[in-house]
Amino acid sequence: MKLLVSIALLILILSFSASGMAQVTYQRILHAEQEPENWLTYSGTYDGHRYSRLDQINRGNVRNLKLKWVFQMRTLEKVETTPLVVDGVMYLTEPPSNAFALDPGTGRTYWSYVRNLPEVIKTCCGRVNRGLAILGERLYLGTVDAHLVALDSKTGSPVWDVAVADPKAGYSITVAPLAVKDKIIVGISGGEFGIRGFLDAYDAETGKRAWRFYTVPGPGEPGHETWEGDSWKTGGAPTWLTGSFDPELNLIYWGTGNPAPDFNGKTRAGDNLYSDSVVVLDADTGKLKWYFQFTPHDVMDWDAAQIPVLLDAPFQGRPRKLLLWPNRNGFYYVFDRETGELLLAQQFGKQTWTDGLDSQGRPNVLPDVLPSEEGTLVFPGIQGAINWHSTSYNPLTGLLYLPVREVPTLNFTGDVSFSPGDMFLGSRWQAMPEEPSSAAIRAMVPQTGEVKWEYPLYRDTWGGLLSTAGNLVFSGTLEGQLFALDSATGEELWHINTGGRVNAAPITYLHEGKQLVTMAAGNALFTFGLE
Amino acid sequence: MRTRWIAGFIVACAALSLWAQQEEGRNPYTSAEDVAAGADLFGKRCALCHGADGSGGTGPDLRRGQFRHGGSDAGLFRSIRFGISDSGMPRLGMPDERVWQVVAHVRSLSRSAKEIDVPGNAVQGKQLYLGKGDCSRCHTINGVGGRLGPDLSDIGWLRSTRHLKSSIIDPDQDIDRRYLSLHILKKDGQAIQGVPLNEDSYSIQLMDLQENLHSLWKRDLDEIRQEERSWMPSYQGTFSESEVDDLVSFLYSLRRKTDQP
Repeated sequence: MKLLVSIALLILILSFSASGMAQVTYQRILHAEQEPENWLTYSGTYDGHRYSRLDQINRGNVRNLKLKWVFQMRTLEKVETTPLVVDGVMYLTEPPSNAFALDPGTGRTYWSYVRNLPEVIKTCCGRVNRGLAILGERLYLGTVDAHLVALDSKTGSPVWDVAVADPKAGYSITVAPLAVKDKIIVGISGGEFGIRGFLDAYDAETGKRAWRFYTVPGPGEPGHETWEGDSWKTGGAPTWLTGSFDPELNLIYWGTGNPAPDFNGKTRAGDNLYSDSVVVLDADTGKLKWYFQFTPHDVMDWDAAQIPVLLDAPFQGRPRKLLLWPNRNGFYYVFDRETGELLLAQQFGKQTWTDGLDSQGRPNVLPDVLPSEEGTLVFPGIQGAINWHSTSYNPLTGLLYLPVREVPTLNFTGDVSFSPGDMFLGSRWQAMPEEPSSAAIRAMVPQTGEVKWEYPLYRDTWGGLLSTAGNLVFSGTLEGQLFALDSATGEELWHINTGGRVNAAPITYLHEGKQLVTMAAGNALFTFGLE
Repeated sequence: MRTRWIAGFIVACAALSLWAQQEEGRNPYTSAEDVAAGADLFGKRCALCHGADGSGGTGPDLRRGQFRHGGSDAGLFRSIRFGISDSGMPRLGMPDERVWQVVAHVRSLSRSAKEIDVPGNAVQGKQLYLGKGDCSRCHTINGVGGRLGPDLSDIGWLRSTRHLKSSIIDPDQDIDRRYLSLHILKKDGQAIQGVPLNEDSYSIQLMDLQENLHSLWKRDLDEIRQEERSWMPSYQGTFSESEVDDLVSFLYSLRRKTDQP
């Protein structure tokens, strides 16, 4: 019997050891937590935990981490990519819309896909990309000219290339797609250009569009009445950060961005559904199951572009299927993710715009906090109490780790004239460096919002988090340090200066049996290991 | 005085007109002399890849008048002036006027589809590709096929009929170095054959003949041998002359399209 098991194990190991031999089936992504040697989807697993079972690197030895290699990118854009690692090969994107396969042992490339882009690309915040999806032997790449491209994972050759939307009208793709069953789910960017947002699903095999969910409802659809006149046509509500998936409920959870124009709501009276919301969609049809709008009629640019964290855990003594959502508006929300029932909503970061939420989670907006001609100072500023950077849930500590920013901005109202393809902000904002501000990594009890520890940062961070079974939390700073904290106490155990701002989240995986940690900083990707 | 004023006005108008054309991206240098000057430059700098008559070689056939990286004057100017990244097309480091003259010459090369004679039958060529030639064992078209040879999904854009024909009959004559045959002997005795993907002083990356990716430290290797030949066999003798034409016709028809929204 023991021999049989050994042989079976050997066959399993052999079948995955030849680089790129195995197909990444939907079943493998579904159980991604069981193969921590790989990193199969943007957040590591469908539930958005960005947690790894690997513990070779742990709080006892993390101080011995050594640089293994650096992959320099040919770009001056921000590097926001989360690489994938599959059966000994790493796949990553380089801004604006390029892709690479490389060997995690040497950092040397196997192939590259370099996209030729039109001269004019409309992006609000850099020609960036956050990563790839993989399914079967294909990688899926969204491009800043608003195409979705399927690439052969062994050669980087394009298999198909479909136009998702018109880049001249301000549409672009920066999100890492999500592979669910036989479909590729991809969101759109362009909330600063007056696009009409949507979330799309494409047949992974053919590239044919399977469904589209408009995040701004058209005439006759529920929610359309929340837009004044024709304002829905330029309503924004993009879908630029990868969502999560619950296979049992067959539901996709996806955050939507700001309504357009960002800072002036006078031409779009109403709640402006489904901007700044979580939309919960049937994975097969794209039909809306439920939604929750965090910031109705937003004029502060508070995109609900956060990673939806799905957690099965007791809540007030009862086992529940929870959805956790620290939002850019400064409040932390817990839902029953099956019914949409709001279970908890409470402040987690400094805010000055509301005196509280009602029992349905609707904020009472204070009268003097709206953008004005002379400028209005508000906490959180337009970058939010949290932005898009990945949180991490660690089942060993039962804690949710999140990067928190308590930084105000001065917000102005202004012109709301619309011209297709031009920025449609409705005004401007201003950073206020002289105002007191703070930033930290916090560990929170997900059911209560209670903060267990805090790791203060010198300035607001743009790095995402990773936690591991080695009792560690990894992240990085605006100034360029990568660091590891004790997941139970927040004690700093290791840091290194990379010399470049961190704009991405770390991953961890095994290469030839040894645990590595990879993270982007500056214009490069850094990989660390123990020897 | 008056004459000088008028002359000045004319010069100013001409300058304005030139500026306006450049602003719109239209070629301001299109006279017969410009085309001739462009032809001279083309012969010296472009003909090696695109053929003296523009019918292509390792570079695309320019006579079709269709250009994937922008077919407007400004698009052509951009491709020639700045090159096309990772495509093999280098930048032409010359003053703008000279680049525009090359654009004028490239425009003059355009021929109608009728004038570009491609012998052979593409439908039969496809059958030969999939059947007798078994080409899809090593080549991919739109995601279907093998990976050891170049992806052919776009080969009709990239190569001339002449180059396609010679690649079928004598594949070793002009090999893209990414497809040289590579032989590796590891210190543990294992032999690996394949095609090179990447190399530095310390390591080498390759795809083996079973399409597995390998990254190897050179310290673990006894031998790295790269032969100046392709894994692709010659099809001279396998195909008749008319069958080669059919196959070339099929390959020349392969041009990837992308959807528009």
